[in-house]
Amino acid sequence: MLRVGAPLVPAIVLLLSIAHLAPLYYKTYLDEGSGFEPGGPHGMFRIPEGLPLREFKQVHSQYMLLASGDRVSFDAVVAATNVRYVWFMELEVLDVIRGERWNFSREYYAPRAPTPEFIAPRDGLYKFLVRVTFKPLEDVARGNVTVDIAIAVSGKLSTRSDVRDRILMELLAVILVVLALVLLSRRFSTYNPYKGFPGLVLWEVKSFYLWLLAPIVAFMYTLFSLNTKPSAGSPSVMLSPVFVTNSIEILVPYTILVVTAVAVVFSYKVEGGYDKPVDILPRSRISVFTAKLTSVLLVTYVPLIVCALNIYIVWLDEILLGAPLMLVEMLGYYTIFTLTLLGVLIATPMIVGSLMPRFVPVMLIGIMVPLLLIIDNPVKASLGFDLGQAVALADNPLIYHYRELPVSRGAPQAMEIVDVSKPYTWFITRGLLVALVALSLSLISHLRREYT
Amino acid sequence: MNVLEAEGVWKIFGATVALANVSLDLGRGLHVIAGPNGSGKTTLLKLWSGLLKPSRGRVRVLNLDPWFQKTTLLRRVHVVFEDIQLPWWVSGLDYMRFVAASRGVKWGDVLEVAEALEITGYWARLIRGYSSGMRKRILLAQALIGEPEVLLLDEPYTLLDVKAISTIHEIIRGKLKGGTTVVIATHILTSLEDEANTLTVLRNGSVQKHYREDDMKLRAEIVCDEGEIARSIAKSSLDGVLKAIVRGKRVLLEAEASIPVEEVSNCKTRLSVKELYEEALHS
Repeated sequence: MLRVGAPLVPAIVLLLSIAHLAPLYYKTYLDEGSGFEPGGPHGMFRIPEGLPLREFKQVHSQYMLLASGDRVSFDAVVAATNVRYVWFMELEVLDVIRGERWNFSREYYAPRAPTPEFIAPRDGLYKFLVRVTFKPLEDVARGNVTVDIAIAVSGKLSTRSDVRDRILMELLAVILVVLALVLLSRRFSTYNPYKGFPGLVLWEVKSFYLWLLAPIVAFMYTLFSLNTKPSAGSPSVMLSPVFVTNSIEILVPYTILVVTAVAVVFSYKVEGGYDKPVDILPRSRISVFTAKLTSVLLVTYVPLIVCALNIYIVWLDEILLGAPLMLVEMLGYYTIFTLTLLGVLIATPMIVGSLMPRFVPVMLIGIMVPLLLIIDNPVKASLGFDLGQAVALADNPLIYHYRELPVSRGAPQAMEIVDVSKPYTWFITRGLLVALVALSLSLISHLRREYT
Repeated sequence: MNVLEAEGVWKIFGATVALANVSLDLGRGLHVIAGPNGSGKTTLLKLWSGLLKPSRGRVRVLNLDPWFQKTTLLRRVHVVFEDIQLPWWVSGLDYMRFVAASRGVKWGDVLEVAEALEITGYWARLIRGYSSGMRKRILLAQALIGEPEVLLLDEPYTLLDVKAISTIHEIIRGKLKGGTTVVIATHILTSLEDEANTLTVLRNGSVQKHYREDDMKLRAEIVCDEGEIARSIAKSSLDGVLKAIVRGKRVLLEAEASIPVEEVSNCKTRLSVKELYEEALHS
């Protein structure tokens, strides 16, 4: 009788780590009276030559998990030079699960004015859509006007008595899942999991062993705590995984994680001869390469997605019943962005590995290059490229909001398209190109490599 | 029909010439490739396995190009090399399951070989805790499972104890009876190699000597019990027997290739591949 205990161990560790994060969830998010600092989008528009001066909008939307009594307020500041103007604030709140809506609309003449506060009537998932519209009251000379629109989100969370019950239920669910896995593993104990391409991927994933699982869990911990802790960069417990890579505290450990995974699979195993047991089996070279790449993507992408999903766990049943498409939509955006980011981060170690499959140089160069482009100001300045900033701009939820612009506004203006989607498009196209070059080099090197 | 072919094969690594113009055709049966360290034995086997690409010349196995048809080839050809590093982070059981799934071998066949090689007692543990001999047995087991058409074994005896070598012999004899062609590259010559159909001696990347089946028969010794010696000597006067030499309890007959030596007496024929190898090395 076969024993399939080994694959179960990482799964249990992963689940237990989620269980471990539950108290943190309680502490960071639901602690009595904790508030969050102002934060939110900020946009400055210069009116270029050739464009008539008309209205401009700053749009901000975000999802929030709120308990009954939680307060969220949106403060807007609209300043413009050399022109008299009026601005409008529209706030739309949607209870995603129940479909209930609240609207607020008002016009202002002063740069700053009292704006509404939303008090959550019940537990739930809320979507906030804020539109701030600037409209000039007079004609002015072209190229002489600057408009500055800032939206600040802040609020205060209430204490909840039944949250403990929810957390206990979550822990109970985790325990039940673990038990179910144990039972399933016994039921399928004679099943050989290494069949076909999935089996090859499983074999490659095993290369990471438990020593890579520890940094993954640590990374998840960091990600989770940063993503759920109210702060200026992430002003609420956000359901949306956007902003995840905006923080250097996340991007740097994530880079290290990705480079380590690539170096293990594409260099350490080659250098140590640990690929040879696979080379002597009837597995094609291209399928082995694809399996290696898939294993890297799995190991580096799953922590992100598990972390994002972990935030959903408490309300998972209601989301699935009330707004299942939202989950799919967000994951779609998240997938494209993170896959491009992964492509960029694996490029350096893959190129180095294809030229010289040695673990230490691949690790050093693979980590050093992106880190210099993220944190080293002289390097960034001399190259004129800041990877952290490019990632942060591309990970801007505005691209998501852009798709939500109301139809009644008519066709989007050229300036808005440039302002909103350019960093995202720039990052995705360049990122994919870099990744493609790296992958091609690595694939050619893999196909030509002899077993010496 | 040739199972393994090499035609004017060169393999060059940087400034090192591993094989220089090697031509060799091997049919079905048991073949021994012997030679000192660095003679090119392993390189030749790797070329036949599709793990290396010839710098010049052509290799074929079962009428397939090993480099370009590696996946197809390795479904029919099982190999083991001395320099294979088993990943320390998995168990031997895991590796055998991976191999079985890759080759589509039934688990019952795996268990049979595993039990014969006595690896089931430790294969659930992670490989990092294995001794060199334990790893070697796992590697041999992966090659010996299933029903390969060709077995390429590179230094199969190193690190193994006498009992394990004996078990390997039994399994290989079973495969030979089943029609598998076996090629053993080694510098340790055991009793199994004495049953070989051909012996190829490599030296400095070239074929120093290739003994075909007929050559091997010519060099066979006939070993008899004491009572048989007189009869053997008497029968040595049969047609075709050129000379009979008595060495202790042995009678060495030098005969024409066509004589079926087993019929000369009740004695058993014995070929000492080791002696042939040493002779070839010193020639």
